Amino acid sequence: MLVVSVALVFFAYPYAAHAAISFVDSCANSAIDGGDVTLTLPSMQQNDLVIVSYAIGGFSADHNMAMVTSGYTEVADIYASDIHKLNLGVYWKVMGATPDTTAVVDGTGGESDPVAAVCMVFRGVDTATPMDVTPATATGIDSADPNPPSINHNNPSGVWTVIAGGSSHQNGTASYTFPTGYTTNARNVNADETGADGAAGMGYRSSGVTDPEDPAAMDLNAGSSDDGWGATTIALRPQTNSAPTVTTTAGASATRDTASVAGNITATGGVDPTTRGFAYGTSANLSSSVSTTTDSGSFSTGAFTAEITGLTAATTYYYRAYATNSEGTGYGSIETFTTSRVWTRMLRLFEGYKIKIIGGKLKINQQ
Amino acid sequence: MKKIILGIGVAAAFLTLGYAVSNAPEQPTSENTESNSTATMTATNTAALTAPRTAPAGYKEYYDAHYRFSLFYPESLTVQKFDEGGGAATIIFQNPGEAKGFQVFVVPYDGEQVSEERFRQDIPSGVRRNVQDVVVDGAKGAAFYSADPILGETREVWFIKNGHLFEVTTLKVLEADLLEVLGTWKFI
Repeated sequence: MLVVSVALVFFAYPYAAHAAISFVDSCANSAIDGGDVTLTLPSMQQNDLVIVSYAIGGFSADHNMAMVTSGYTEVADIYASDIHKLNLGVYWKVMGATPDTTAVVDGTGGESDPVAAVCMVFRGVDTATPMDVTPATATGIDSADPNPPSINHNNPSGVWTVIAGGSSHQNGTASYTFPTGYTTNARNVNADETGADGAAGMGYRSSGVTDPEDPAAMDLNAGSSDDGWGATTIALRPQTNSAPTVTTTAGASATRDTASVAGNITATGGVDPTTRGFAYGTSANLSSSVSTTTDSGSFSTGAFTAEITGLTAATTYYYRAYATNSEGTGYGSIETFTTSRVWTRMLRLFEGYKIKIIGGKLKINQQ
Repeated sequence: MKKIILGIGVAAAFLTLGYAVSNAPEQPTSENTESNSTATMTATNTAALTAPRTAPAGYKEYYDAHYRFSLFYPESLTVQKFDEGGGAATIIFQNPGEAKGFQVFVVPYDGEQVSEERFRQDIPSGVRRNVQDVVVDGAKGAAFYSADPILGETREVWFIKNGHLFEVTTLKVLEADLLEVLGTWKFI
């Protein structure tokens, strides 16, 4: 632990920056006869965004699409009625401290209904408002090529566009060719059912996103004029970074000249703090003569402690935890401790020296 | 709380040290004097102070307005004062190169005798040999030999005055030097 004496400026930087969105991974699975589909989600961390899209093909009616797994927000529940009828549902969920490992979609249980589901996981998306604007949806018939609609972003800087499409068709296993800009890590799956199949696909665009962004169609390598499709276009808003959120643990223990203090980083602010520690001093608002303890590294959320030494006995100290990331410094509340009033003698004579008596003569040398 | 009686005389009251302090070598005289005030501490005793004294040649005066005492120490020693908080302080007089030095630890104390608890607090080893009554400029106390893990055998002279306990410590082999200094001790 490095202890330095500095005067801290107790306010956060007056700006906030956006984090970059990144792609984590994708998943896909399918079922027939209207079975629920269980998606095995990629390994995730807190605040990752999961988008699930699933299509039901065949000849079924307009279903009430839904997630079996709780906590998802519906983006789209659309239906295209051709001979081969298409239901498409799209959902999202921000992962908590313990991310889900699976996502289950409701296959409705309809006989002969093929169910195809895909997922994508993104990191660095705004957890409060992942959708930059209301997603756009579209449906069509006489084709198996979903055509995601144009979308207007609020803030094109750093926005990613995600397209999710589904098709109902009758031509065996099929797959999509994604439009330009949406091919990286694009994922699709086909549910092969007797009579009619269902296909679902998802892709994203991370660069070259325009405003408005109008993706081209997802080209299914099978299809006929009897097919129906549905598509959704989503704009992902990047996380707005901020200074960490920090709390100070009250009730520090103190001896005559030391104290054990504790704090907690409850939120990183989108960027892991690189320093954390405690500010302490004898002024009530820590406005002057403030000393600090500093730990350097890369810190996520969680509790941390420090041992403060060199304190004056019988003195009330004020302290608070802090953590700093690239966006600024977050502080906990100001708490107090008082060093003990036991004024035990300290033998400071020849402190730091080595004392020897050689031949009856005293020798004192620096250690 | 068991008290140890430091000031109650036995037949041999004012033993060697007491005699030595009361009959310290004649103080050298010189026009070269220097006073070290306790600028870092706030004096709480507002009674008039005795004026600084003139230190003899080869000596300086340490003048402490807060704890109200003065002494002469060899000018080759360096003085450092540490605020220990709660009204306590440690004053170091030392020159490691010459293997000379002593320290004064002073702490507020409202008793007239040093309690066993206080003794154990400052000397956890409990070593206390050859306890002798002493008087330092009118302040009654005791001298004894003790032991410290770092310093080894030590010479201790403790006395109480003006609501403070003074604990003067040096190495046993430097006892003679300490006696000389204590002979110049004056409460002011």
